[in-house]
Amino acid sequence: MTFIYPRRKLRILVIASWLTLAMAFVETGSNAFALNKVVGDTVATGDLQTVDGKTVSLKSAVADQFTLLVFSRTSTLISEHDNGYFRQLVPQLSFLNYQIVLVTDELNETTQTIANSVSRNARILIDPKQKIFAEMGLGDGSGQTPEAHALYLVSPKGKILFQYSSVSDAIPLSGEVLILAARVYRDSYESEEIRPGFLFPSPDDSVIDLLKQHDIANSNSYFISAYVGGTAYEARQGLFMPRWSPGLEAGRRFGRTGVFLRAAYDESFDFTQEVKKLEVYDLGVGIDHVFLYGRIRSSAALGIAILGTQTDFDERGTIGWFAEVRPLSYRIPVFKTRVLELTPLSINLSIPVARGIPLILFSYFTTASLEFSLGRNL
Amino acid sequence: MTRAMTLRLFLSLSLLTYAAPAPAFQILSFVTEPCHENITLGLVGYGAPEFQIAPASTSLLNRLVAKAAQQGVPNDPATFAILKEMSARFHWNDLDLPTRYVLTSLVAGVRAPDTKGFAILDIDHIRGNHLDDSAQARHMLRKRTNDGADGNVSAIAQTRSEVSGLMNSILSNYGSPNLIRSQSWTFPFYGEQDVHLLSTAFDLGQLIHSVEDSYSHAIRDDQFKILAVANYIEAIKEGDKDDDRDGPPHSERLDRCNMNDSFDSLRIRELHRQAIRVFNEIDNLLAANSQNNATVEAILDDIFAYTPGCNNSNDYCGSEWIQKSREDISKPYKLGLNCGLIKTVSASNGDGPSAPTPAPLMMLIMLLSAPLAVSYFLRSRSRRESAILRN
Repeated sequence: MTFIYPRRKLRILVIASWLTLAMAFVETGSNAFALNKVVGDTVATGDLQTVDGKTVSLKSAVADQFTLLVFSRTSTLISEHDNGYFRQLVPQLSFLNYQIVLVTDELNETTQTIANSVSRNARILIDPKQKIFAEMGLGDGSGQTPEAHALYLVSPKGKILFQYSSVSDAIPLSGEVLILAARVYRDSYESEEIRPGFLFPSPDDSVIDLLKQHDIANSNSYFISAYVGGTAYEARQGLFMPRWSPGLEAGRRFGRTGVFLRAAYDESFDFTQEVKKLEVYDLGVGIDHVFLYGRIRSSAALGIAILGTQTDFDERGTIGWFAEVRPLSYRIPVFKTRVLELTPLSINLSIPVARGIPLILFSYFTTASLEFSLGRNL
Repeated sequence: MTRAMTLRLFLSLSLLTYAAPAPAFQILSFVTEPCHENITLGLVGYGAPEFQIAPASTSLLNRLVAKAAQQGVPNDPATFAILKEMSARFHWNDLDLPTRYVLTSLVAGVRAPDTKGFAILDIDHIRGNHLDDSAQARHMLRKRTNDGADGNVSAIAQTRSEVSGLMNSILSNYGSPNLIRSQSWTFPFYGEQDVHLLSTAFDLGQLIHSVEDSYSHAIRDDQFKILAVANYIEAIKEGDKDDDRDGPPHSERLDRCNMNDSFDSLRIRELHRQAIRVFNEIDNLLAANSQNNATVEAILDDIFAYTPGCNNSNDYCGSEWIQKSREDISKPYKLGLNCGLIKTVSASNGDGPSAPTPAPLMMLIMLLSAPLAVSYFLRSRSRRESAILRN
């Protein structure tokens, strides 16, 4: 008996995998639309000085390009702790095609050195009277203690999309969120109108959704998953042969990569003459990797397949093996610790009888599963 | 899952994939009755009770059983598996091994012209076989070129030629020291395997298949004379079907074998009577180790006797058979929820068989439906989120 991997079907599998990826991006985009509901002010007007002593308005400095606008007193610019570790964020935002504009209150050697170390494209603007600081709500015109440092994401039209302050208690979010916000704002800015009138946006559900996914994807946690897969087509014989397989997986993720145990029931129906049923029980181990904001999971499992039905050839209890590869599964967070996972196409090979006349079941499955994360750092 | 649930599951899914049953007396499948099997087993006394029509050709069966015992039943796994499968299906477990072996070979033979050993749902192969112009004769059906009244004569002659060829093969090979033949057989889940069967019994099965089909694929009169030979290959063709030219279309009704129906009971009893004559005469020739088949040919003259002059224009001289035939005429079959997405009748150009290919279709449906379902779900979710944010 020969077993030939069908190239044409492999191509179909690759196309399906790309479709899955595309769906993930579409879904990420839909969250971006939601993020754009966050309101923002326009950047302050007023003139600043360049390092060459020329006058430039802040509005023109941020026009026509997404901008990371950094306000920082010179005294806090040199302290990573005080300035919110912003230098770690700048390379990532440059990668997302954000320009960097640093507004400070004094030009000196330290200022310039730090600015150059951040990015060669960083523009340094001086606001010695702290006028712009004040207009942005950072000044001490009201007599209150001024904020020392803040970061803004600014649209090409000068709208403030997002504010991040290291000393503010209003948004207990990390720099990671800033990068995430920068990306989704950039990707969806053209489609949505930014409404004015905010300084500190309240945490957005969509951001939190993404964070939850990321949390699940990255957490060092145990998980259990219940799934059911099925197909109507047996690929080796090229026959209509309905097959379904409910199963359980339990495992642990170490960062984005995990290992798991699998137990599954596998039932097939044959219509060669009468309707015949075949039962197989699978026990195995697997490995998975979660990526793309936790939206995508690739996994593979391998183990023993136990024949559960007496056949004309073989005794019940005969042991062979199975293997399944799920190249790309699309993951949708459900509530706090659950993930609904859809696998459009996986490759499932079960050989409960490997000797003599082998019993080979080879199918492309479509699978849905529900994963429960059992918490972090258990 | 009960059998009924299983069947319902299949029937719903089969809207996508399944075409019409085989073009002959029905053979056993999940939706058809084992007509060929029961009629043939009835000839040797092992059919279902309603097919146990006296007399039976027990002498021929005993001769073949003795031959099988002499040759020895092959003990390879696939052959034992088919014996096990058949014995369970037809309740032969109490019979001795050589008898089960002969009956198995006979049943495999009578199914072979319809399936060639493939699974019923292996539509690529099954339809390729059924739409093969050269394969029509073994089912007593017209080829594409068998037109008009002359087409009846040609079709009958072609079928007789097939039967005579098989008979000659049986008689000439019987003295061979090795009558074991390798044949393909499709097992549930295991797929296609080679089994080793008694060639005499297998060929007898094939031979009698053609004789049996002459009682389902011909319009006969009250004296069981053939008035017209049916046409399958053009009956399932959309468009320019012409009964005057192509003959009566193949009928699903005549493929059935309900012994509680007086029409079916009468024609199957006549078929049994004639087939027993064939079996007994072949038995006599085997006993005499003779290859002079003139006596069998004389019986075939009776079975295939043709009365000209009855055609579509005179409604086949008012034969009851044509009325029954019209109760369920074979029609062009389609795949894909009857939406015209795929019309599988491809015998229209006369260039040989071209069967539908459900495998790519199924793959396409699976590939399209899963992402579409997911994207629909995502769109709904996105709309819900937007609505929440707006509020």
